[in-house]
Amino acid sequence: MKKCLTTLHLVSGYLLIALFFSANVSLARGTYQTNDEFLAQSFEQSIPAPKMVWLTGDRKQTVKNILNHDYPNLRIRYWQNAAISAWILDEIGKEHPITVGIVVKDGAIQQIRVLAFRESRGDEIRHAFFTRQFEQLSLTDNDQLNQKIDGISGATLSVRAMQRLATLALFLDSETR
Amino acid sequence: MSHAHHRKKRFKLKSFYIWHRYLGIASAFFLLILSVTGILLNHTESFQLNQKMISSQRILDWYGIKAAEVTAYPVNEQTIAMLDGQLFLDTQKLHGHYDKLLSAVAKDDLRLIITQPDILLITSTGEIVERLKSTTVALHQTSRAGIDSGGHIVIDTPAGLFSPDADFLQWNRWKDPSKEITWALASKPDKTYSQQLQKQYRSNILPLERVILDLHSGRIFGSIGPWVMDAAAVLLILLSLSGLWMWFKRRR
Repeated sequence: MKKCLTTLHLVSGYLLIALFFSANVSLARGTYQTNDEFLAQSFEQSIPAPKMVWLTGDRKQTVKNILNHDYPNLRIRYWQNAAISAWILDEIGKEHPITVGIVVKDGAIQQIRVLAFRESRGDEIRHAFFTRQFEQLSLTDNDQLNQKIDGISGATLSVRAMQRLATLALFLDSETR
Repeated sequence: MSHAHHRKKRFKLKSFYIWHRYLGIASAFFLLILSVTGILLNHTESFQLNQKMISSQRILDWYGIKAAEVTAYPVNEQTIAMLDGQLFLDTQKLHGHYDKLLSAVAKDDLRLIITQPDILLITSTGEIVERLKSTTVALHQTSRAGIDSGGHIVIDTPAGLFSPDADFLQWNRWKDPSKEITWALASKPDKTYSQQLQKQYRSNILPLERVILDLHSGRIFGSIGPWVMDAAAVLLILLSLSGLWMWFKRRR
């Protein structure tokens, strides 16, 4: 009888652990802010008309160097007023694209947010403790971020994707000013 | 030791040798399969076995890999088609995975493809210009697209009809009832084209590594396969033991 109870406890314990992890996996995916909400928050008064930057020639090559692959589209849409520019960019972390909204002001990142996360894990990158590291970062002459970003264990690929997108937004902002 | 006993012993050894030979012949085929596939699997990355896809229709049929029906929209002289979440411009596969193809229209050198969840703007050569976004129109709720008699693209959304500006950056409400809209309609694709697309789709699913792995384990022959390979492994063990036994006997 005692053995049976111990086995039962063990099984229920394993089930609880399995439930905990499966819940974590499903919680990682989600849309945290819509594109419209992000733009409305970034441009307090009114959202400017969208503009586009074409990825051709040297620009295309630089983008490829930043991302380590071609950007899947020929052009990227952005929103810009006299003070800031806003970018909504996608990059694959491991298997699925992560949508990130980035606001650039005076050549430095003012704000970066994960808008939609579709990977099964690594969503810790959406939290402020991580995104705060990007604030006020700018580009070096070699098109790299001017400060090191501390990683998150278990979210390495998502962290790298975020770094690539931050670099890309800063580069594209410099191209449109 | 008597002569008769010696003869009996020699006869026993000879018959054992014959058994050993038959065991060897019986297991040679399986030994070849196991060793060749084993070597290949040890060097999967070097041989890029996981990137090479099987195109043999017989093997694909054996694995029960089937292609779904093709949905197609003719645009100018081209065809936009979808098959199992993959989008094609003629036979060129477009980047990404999509749930459903809802409509497709052409304007000059550009093609507007309405899918769920994206609206794609591509060139006539299949390069994706942009996955369109809008802050004013719920583009993802677009149900169909068409061309009005003025040559402008029109999309149908729950909020009404909208038309894009020249750069496809902004969408304006379409207000021209005098113009007639011709909505894009799906057409039954040509049989040869469908078969070509299905063949292309099927030829991009099964990696060579999977087939070699299944050959190695015997699973390629169905549920009985692993048992056959187990039997072959037992034969090989017996072969090794009988070989060793005979070697020791002869030395004596």
